[in-house]
Amino acid sequence: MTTQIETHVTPISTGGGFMRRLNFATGAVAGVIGALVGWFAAKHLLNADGQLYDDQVTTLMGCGWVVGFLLGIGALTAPGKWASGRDQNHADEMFLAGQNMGKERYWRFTTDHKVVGVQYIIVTMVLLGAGGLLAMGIRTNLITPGNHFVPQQVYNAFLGVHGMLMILGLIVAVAGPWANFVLPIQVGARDMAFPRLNALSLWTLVAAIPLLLGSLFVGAIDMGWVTQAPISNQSGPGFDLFALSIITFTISTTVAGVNTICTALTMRTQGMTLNRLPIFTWASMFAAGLGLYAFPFFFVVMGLNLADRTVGTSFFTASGGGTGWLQENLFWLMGHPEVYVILLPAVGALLEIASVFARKPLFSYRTAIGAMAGLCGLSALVWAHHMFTTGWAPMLGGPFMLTTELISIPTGVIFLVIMGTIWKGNLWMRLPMLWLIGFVANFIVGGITGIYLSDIPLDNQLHGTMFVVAHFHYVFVGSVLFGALGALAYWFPKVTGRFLDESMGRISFWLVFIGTQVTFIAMFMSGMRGMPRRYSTYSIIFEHTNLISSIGAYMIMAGMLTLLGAVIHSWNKGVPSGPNPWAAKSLEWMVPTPVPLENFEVLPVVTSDPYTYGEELVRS
Amino acid sequence: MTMTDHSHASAGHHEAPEVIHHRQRLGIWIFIAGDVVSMCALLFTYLYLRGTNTGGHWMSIEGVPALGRSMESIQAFLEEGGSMITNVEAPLSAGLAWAMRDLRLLVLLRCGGVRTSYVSRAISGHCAPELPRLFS
Repeated sequence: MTTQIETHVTPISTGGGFMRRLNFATGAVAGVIGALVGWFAAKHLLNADGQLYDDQVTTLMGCGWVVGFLLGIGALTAPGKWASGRDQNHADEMFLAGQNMGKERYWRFTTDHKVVGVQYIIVTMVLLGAGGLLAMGIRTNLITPGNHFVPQQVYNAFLGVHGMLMILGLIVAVAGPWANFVLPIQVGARDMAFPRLNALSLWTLVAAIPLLLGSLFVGAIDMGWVTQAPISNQSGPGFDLFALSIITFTISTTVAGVNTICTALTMRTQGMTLNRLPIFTWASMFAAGLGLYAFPFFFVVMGLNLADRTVGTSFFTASGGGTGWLQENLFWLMGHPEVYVILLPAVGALLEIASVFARKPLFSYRTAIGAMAGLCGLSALVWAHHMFTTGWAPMLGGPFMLTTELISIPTGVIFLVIMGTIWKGNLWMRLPMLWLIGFVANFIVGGITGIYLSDIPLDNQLHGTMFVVAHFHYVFVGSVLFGALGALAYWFPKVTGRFLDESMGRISFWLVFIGTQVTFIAMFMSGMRGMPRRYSTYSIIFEHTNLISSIGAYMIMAGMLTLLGAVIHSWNKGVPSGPNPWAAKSLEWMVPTPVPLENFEVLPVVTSDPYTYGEELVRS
Repeated sequence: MTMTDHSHASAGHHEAPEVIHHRQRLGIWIFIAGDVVSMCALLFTYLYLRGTNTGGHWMSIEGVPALGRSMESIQAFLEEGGSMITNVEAPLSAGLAWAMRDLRLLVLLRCGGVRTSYVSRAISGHCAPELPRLFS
């Protein structure tokens, strides 16, 4: 007897054409070819005896890399077809979406938002991993005074690149993976508003990473991540690659921001009114909007820096009519809003977690949205508090101190919303909730020390010390990273269909949590005793606190490696979770796992908000 | 979140052209907003450098000729009672003075019947004493 098994698996799309040959490897090869073309062009078109020749060559090679990589990965194929009078047909679009392509789609220019989300997870791991390794180099060097584990110049390069890798990593840590994977499903959409732009933003970011890492080998940025002028104009060619990587990154975030806002506003399913939008969607939308305000300043300041170095302008050089204060103003006009671009998506994810794991409605949903709006508005008015001690505009110190202290109000409101949500809740202490509790503890330390630093008299004492470093690490590591890891633990089952290993996750949590306290409380003490930041060695009086900080940093690294092990193990062999393991009520948990290509077979009609936990008990 | 699965979408997952057009238009507007911020950053750069007059390479706030003008013209300007602001001026106050001067110019232009000379003197920063009379 013969049996015929009917299969419902759709074959791999026949479309794609030339795109079928393109993937990450072809992108890398084309990028290298592009860099060589840049070098060749520079050699033949530019004056090799010119003062700016090295910077011009480096910049042209960097541009060649970015353009070559994007061409090689296929990012410009569809626009190229359109420009030549043809357009993508349905089969091409299905190929681009990675229909039935298996794991291969993760290495291609794939438009499916879930694939892009997973790609962002990998990119975030690379950025945070590389930044973390540099942090270990820095902390190892600071174990004892006079240690030469890292040569002095290399130490400076490590500091600058560590800072920027971590900033970029944290900008995309929550907004990258989850605003792509989760947000469209949360609003009831089949994909992002502009799927090709979505993939473009991801691969533009990927193109920026080798530039940033490559800068380490040609001098890097030896003046810290804030790239203070005119030191930045005196730095080696590494700065050119650094500036290009930032310019590329700002293009990526702009494209991603437009996509996020358009998706949340125009792709909502029927009944998904703004009053019913999940709080993570709101947070992502605010962060994207704030990024659209902040990152153009980053683009401009790096562009002007590059112009100073490659075409001989003097925007930031006093001898030529420019001023370093301009650079500081432009940088911090971006720099402070950027903190909230990083923080808001993490807070949004944690608010989701708070409601689900306390089994309570979100406390004061509208207040939370108002507080986020307040944060966005005020964050644009506080930039000069980074410049209190520079001598710039002393008469504006008072107003900027006031606005900085005002911003603690919406920050505190968000804190209260989290506390109000978990207050008297029936707390389910699973891994995401642990990270939330850790966030609450750390955020209060990071936030309150920020208020100290906003006071001019105290800032005059503490500016440029390790106290400031400890403060912003409590915000970035203690708060944002905890939020990112909470989000990872929360949505991991939706991505993989498996739980993140609870035991390894808990070990990781305690290592990172205790490590954070050990590292940064000791760092506060170093700073309060006057230890300056950015130095590769120090006085003997700071010996003990630095040793303690380094031990704490190793604990954090051990925790992160444990978590990496948990992710790899759970992705392959974790406990199956089913489609809705947390019994949550937002739309992403209503679809099957793995999520189908277009998310919903039939678009849902929403009839209530996603935080109606416990209402059955109230009615009964 | 409660929901029903009554479909409101047309079969085949295709959207109406108007919906797509609306979405694309919003996207373009947001891109334009980002561009406007970039332009604002460049404008800020221009005004800052012009206001600070660092190194005398930019026109100073009180109309003193910039680098490249002849010493005679500077001398003549000073003899007419003009004041020379140099780069020892605190950058922000210079920038604010620039902004104030532009504001004054705007006020003057808004006032009907303002003589051309007022405008030209406003540009050179010497019309402040005239303002109370204009407002009265």
